[in-house]
Amino acid sequence: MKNLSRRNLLKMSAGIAAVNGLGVYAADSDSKQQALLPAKAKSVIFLNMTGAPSHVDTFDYKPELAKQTGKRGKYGQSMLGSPFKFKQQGKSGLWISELFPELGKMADELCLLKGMYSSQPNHPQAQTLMHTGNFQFPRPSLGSWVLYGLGSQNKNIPGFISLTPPSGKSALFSSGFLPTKYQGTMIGQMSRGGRGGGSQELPNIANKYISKELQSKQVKFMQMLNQNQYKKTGMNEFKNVHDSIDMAYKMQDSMPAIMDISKEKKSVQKLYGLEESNTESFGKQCLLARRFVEAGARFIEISHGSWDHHFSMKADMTARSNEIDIPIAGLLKDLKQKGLLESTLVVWSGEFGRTPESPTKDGRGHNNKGYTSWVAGGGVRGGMSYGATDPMGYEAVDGRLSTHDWHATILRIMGIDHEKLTYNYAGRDFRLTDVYGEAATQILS
Amino acid sequence: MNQDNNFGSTGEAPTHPELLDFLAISFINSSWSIKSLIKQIVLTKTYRRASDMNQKNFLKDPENKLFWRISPQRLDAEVIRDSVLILSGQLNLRPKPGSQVYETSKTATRLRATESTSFGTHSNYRSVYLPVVRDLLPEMLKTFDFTQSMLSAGKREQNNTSSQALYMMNSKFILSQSDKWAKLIIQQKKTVDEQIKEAFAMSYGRYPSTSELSGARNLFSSFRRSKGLAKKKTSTKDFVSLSAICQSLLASAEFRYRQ
Repeated sequence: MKNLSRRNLLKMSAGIAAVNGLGVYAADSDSKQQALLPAKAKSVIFLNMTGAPSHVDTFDYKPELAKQTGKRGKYGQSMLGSPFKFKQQGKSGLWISELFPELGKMADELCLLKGMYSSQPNHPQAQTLMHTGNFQFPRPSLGSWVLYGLGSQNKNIPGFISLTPPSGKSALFSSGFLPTKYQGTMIGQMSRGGRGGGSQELPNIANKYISKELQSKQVKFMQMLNQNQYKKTGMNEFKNVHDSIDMAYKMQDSMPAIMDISKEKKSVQKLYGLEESNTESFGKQCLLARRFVEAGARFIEISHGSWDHHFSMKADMTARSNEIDIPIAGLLKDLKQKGLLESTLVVWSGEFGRTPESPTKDGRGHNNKGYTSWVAGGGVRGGMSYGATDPMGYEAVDGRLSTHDWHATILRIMGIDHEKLTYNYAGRDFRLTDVYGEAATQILS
Repeated sequence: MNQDNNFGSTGEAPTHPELLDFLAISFINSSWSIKSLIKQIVLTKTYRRASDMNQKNFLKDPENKLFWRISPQRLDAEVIRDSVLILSGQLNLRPKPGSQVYETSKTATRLRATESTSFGTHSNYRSVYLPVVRDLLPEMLKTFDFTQSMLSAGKREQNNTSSQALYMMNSKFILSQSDKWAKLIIQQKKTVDEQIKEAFAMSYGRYPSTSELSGARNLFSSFRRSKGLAKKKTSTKDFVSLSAICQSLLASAEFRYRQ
């Protein structure tokens, strides 16, 4: 080779890397791709706590902070110990706040990630970053990457479902530059004030004007047209439209059937808190999430909001926690009793944490330098605490996990090497973790 | 050249470099007129080729790099929507005067997804005149791979998803436009066969094959005889039954592919 210049070498290696434009994980919903790394988890339920819940009042016990209450902190405001009592829970003895009495009983399932930090101190940017790995530009969301990497398990339902996302935040379940089949299917929308709930409908899921029987004849006619054209032209596109109509026709039955929770046993409904008015809304989402997991969806996200406690923290945080405590504990118990927890990763996280100081004596500011999220279920060590903030809870100091590290960790739990999950767009291979990220493999069971 | 935005060393080399040079020079000579450039391209024999399959050519050049045919392509969301409105006779070619977003915001404190539909899909303006509000894209456009308004995209995605199929099967927009289209055809053609043929000609630019015609006739009579329509007027029975055929034509792949 006489022209073996650096430029040519670069060209050659780039050519090899981009054999078909897709990365190593070119999983398609058409092919049943196996995770390349050993993994137990097959599905993810992501409980997205919008508004950023305080870590020092929930899962990051700070006895030293209590002693400093009233003293001036480093940001110039007075320190505030948690108004909530903490207690060691389960055999593992994890410290969990009294805000979560029921979830506390499931402590031995939880792996608390106490060294989380985010680069963004404001809600919209931090939420976008947490979902896509980038706060500036629209990028594929975590759920889309997972579905792209692992493919779909059930051809009758969408693989990525976002239950009641916050309104106007489609970036959180967007497929970005990934093909739209990896986009989150939105069901319902968060009501104003962001407490979840709202209507739960899938657009165009039923035809209100004609009977099932007539529609089946109409679909048959459409499919005959598609098949004729496919035979005539040999164009795969005609086959794809044919298949999408098939799927849609099946979804008209499969989706409402999954979403109909009326046939769940009374005891199960009670487990999720459906009988109490304050837990009913979030409990229903959790139950739906389990039903979608059972049906083979890859990634289900539920949002629950109003954790932005600058004021009236004691009262309002109690109310917010009450809304999710029984439902989440119920979800973990139910997954466990059905043998699904082994293969399901449950993730709980806000976009950042809150300051140990308080300007109002009953509220906390934004703190992106340290916070807690937790994971439970498939392939994760339960009853574990990983990482730490300093004794006051200002900053993550040990087992630090950036958003990229957290993404790498979640992908690793799903059996995906975050460095190999790539998609070629605008001339280069993109990753969820960009050029960053290190998975916290110590938490794998 | 196959790429839309990678002209660097990691991209593919152009298949017709001389042609690119020629076009570049005439682009400059036409005072950088993009309109002239497009006209020059679309008037060529190459651009106007049919998309018909030719096995011999296909084996030699499966990716059609040498342009032995026009590659079949999914229509863009806007084109699909406008085509539906043309068939139903509803398309309004003029933009709505003023700002639809401003009008809406006079009564609402905050634009929401539900309100966006009032100036979105259900209006009959050309799709280019629909306001694009970040995060509140009209449902129809979003469903058919409209790009995110915040994202630069050299190329549109072309996906065939179940939400598109559901949109074609069940959405208010498609159902009501199919009804209007059927009524238009009935005004012009007397017999059911003529009406079916007209529907094919209008949407696909061809007449139905024998099997398609008989399939359409069967569908027509299934609807015509159905219980749901039993008590309706004859004229209603006719247009509802024809509308089912019209809707099927819109939902099938041939309608959304340029061939």
